[in-house]
Amino acid sequence: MRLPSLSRSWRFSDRVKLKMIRIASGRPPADILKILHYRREFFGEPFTTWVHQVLRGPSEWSIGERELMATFVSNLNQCRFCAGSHGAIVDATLGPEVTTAVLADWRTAPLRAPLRAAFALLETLTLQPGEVGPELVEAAYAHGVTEQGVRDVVHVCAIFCTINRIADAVDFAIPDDKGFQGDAYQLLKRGYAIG
Amino acid sequence: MPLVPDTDNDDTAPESLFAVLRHAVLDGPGSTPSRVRHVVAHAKLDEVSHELRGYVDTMREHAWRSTDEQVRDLLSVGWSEDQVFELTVAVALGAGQRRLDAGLAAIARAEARLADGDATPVRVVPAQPAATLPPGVQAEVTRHAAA
Repeated sequence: MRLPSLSRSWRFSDRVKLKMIRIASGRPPADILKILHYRREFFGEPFTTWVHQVLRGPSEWSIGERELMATFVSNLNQCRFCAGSHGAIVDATLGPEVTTAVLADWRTAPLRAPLRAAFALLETLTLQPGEVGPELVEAAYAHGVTEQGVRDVVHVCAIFCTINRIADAVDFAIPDDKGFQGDAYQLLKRGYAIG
Repeated sequence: MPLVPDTDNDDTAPESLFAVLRHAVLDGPGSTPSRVRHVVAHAKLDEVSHELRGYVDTMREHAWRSTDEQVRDLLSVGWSEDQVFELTVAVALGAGQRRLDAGLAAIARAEARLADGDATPVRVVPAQPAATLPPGVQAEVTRHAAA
């Protein structure tokens, strides 16, 4: 990690918490946890509250589908850490073949029509936000996505266009497959809010 | 200004939660002046100091190309790690907000066209309860727990 002091300035209760995570998992906490607990009022707390509501709150999209969107956006942004982290959750929920198919070409992946419309919006919003017009929203509506469903898609995109940049700028270490799978289990079990 | 719709004071609405985050990052206490955080978040490169300009531009457009050297350069001219952290988060949040604003604006335009009878009507899809994992997910959690 490029800013090592961020690993040494946590409040006492967070130092204990991260120590417990290290003991329970048998490996150092992921860099994302170090960042989220560093001056948590500045970024970690409000960010994870937003993320938890969008990825785990009420939605017409399943948890696996929202995680698939997260993986897709992260892959477009070439963020290996986030694509691996959320891809492992998709593998555990929808199956690894879904992740592979979507990242290869979402247009031909075996997706239900509303989800395919969401990917069309996500691709343009991530790579060319200035090019997003009402047509992409209307296409989603035509496939049965509600206004709130489209809002959820937009928030997933905004979340990962934020955290992907932080992960790459700070240079998060990339876990191995077992590490990603362990983190995926924890994120499915506990969600995102660091409270 | 962010394009945040009236959420009727629902403090759990994603738009409201984003507004809280934005306020904390750009206007909350920090070691970097709030004005600087706003400038980098909105990528006003002509107002950004020379040594910051390349870092902001890289992060905004292709963060995966950011390098150790870029961060070292900022530290070597006097920015602290805490300040670099704040600026990094501010730039990233600005990139996220750009997508949020663009997406919400597109929704608003689609809704306006719908109201004018100029777009496809919406079919309502039932929402999924928040607290319940789908059966397949629950099975996977159980399987991982047992592994």
